[in-house]
Amino acid sequence: MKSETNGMESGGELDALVRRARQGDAEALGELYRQLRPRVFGLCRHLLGSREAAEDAASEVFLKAQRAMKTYDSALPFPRWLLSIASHYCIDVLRRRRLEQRLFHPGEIESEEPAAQRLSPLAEVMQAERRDHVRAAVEALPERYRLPLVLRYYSELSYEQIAGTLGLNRNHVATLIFRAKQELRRSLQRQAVSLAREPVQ
Amino acid sequence: MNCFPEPTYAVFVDGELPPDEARRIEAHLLACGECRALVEALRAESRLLADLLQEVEPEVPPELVAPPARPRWMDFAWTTAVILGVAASAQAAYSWFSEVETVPGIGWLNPFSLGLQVQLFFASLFYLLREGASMLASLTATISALLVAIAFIAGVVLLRRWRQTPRFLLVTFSLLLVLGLAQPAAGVEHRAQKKGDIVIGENEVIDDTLVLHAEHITVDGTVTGNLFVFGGDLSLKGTVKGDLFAFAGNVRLKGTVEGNVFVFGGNTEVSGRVGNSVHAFAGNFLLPQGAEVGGDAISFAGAATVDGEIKRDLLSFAGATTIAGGVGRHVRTHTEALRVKSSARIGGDLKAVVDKQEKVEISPEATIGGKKGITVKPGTAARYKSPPFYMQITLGLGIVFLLGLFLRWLFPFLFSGVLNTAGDVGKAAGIGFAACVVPPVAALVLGIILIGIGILADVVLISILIPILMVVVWLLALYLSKLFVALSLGQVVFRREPGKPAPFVLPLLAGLVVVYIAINIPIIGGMLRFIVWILGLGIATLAAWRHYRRRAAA
Repeated sequence: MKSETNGMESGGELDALVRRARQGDAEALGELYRQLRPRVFGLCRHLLGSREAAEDAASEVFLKAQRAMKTYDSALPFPRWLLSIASHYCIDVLRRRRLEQRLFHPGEIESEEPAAQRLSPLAEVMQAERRDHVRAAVEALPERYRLPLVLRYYSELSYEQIAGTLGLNRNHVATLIFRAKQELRRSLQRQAVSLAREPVQ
Repeated sequence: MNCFPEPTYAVFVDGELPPDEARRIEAHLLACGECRALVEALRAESRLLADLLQEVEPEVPPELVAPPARPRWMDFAWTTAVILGVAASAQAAYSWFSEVETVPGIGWLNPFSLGLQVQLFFASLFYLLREGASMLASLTATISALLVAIAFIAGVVLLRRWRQTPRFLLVTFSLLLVLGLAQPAAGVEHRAQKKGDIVIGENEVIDDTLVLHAEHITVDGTVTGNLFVFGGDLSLKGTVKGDLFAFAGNVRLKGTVEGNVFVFGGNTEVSGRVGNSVHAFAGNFLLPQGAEVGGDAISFAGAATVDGEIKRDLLSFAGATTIAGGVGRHVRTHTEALRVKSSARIGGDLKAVVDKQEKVEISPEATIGGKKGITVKPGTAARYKSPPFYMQITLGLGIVFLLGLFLRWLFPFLFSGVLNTAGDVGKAAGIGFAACVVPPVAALVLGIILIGIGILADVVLISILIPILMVVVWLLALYLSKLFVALSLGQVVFRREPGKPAPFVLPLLAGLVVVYIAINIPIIGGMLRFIVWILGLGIATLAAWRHYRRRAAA
């Protein structure tokens, strides 16, 4: 799978590094940092929505991970463990950002209106410039949609794991992910309409 | 068979349906072409999302690629070696210098003499706070400015070039401090009397440094070392061979102090003889006829009156300054009212900065050897009409700009400004306010505590350097805070292009122009300046903090 190889060396080598890092080998830690930072940064970037915040968060995550190294259970792949620290950290950051502590209101999720119009799924073949639009649209999603979406498609967590991370139940996660996609379709369709209206220069 | 709703297909595509339900859907898909197409489209959408999210723009600042890891024991060994080396040299230097017998009269120039150290502390503070040019004449201020500059540069070089961590510097500094303080507190005698008087009788000779603490203190005898006094009032008719440090409500010096006099008091009258300089921070400072000061007199007072003799310079920051006696060299004063009487004799220049010309009264019979220069502080309206004012601003802008370039070369991370959202501005303002207020207070408290400890140990140099450096860095930071605000403003106009590092030179220059104009607007300029201090310090502090965390993570 793409996510498992993204910016990383083969599994065996990574395991060896992790083993050395757990014994306090600074060099191994540095190497892990070098290899995995982009991936952690990416997750934080999506979850937090800004580059600066993500840079800070990535640093914090590595500090946390370094401290928690002893508690790491090798049954779980190391990148996954690191990403779970990252997602918990980012969710904390998002919580702290708002006056109200809760990111999700289960009642609200259930009562949300389904989309009025039928929107077709986003096409896989897209021109490069449209991909930027999609990315921007993801960034613009409200947190309650963006978080589950990112955890699903960036961290590749199961609904169950996402539910655990966000403190929701599985059905809520399914609903939110579906709504997130609909929201994306809607905002991109609006853009497409407005683009179509603009005369070609 | 009926088609399933789209959300169910979405969950199916994500592989999250229970097996039996998934089987039912698969069966339906075999039969229904429309749903098959929908599921295919949903799959494609998921792939697209996964793809897009995985492609993250890379992080920009290349300086933050983790440096190659160094084994920790080497850090430790290095740190220990350097600390030991520095401490040993400091120790050696201390014992050498403290043994050196200097020519009488210039003993205070010894960097390990308490007089110079305390003078250093205060002189450099005021040197930096007030217009320094007038004090540059004073040798001590020059030395202190030099020492502070050397210490600062050494610190920066240590940090940047040898890549030592702040923690390392802190450890070194504390160790030096401990070593300095651990010098035997030889020859210190301490007498305290919470209520009541302490009297050192006429025939009494204290062959030590003496520390006195009482409500009323009378010293008629002789103290061969330094004398420290904490109390309600002090009357000195005897002799102090070293320096006198007095923290008291009323101070009357009729006797002789052969070294320096430092007074922090309400009313201060020096009518005897002082071998070296007098520093008075007092409500009233009076030097009556017959008084003799061998060195400079530096006074910060509500009213300063000089009827006696000062061999060197008089520097007076006062509400009212009256000169009727003799000053061997120059007189510099910042004062509201200035009176120079007919009996006054000034060997050098008389330079005064006053609020109004009417408040200056100089008798034509007074003798002034050098030039006479009275500067009236220009009123706000007049200021804007004079061309030099604009030249000064332009010059200031140029200097700050160059300093900005230099600072970025030295500490690039300080300029990774972060004012994107209103939240950032609020955060910067909060932190900036703390950064504006806390350091001077901390330096003052630390200074008082350390002088206290230093007095008992008879060594102040090392301990006094920390508060001095704190204040120097703080003032420098206030001065440079414009840079950070300017850059943030400039980068609003000159935006960063995606994938490229943020532009620097042009936005900085443009921003500086805006900031300089803003802080010189009449009436609200002062307020804007304050806001610039706060925001600028906030931005820089935040950036430094982020940098530190990232370094720690790496």
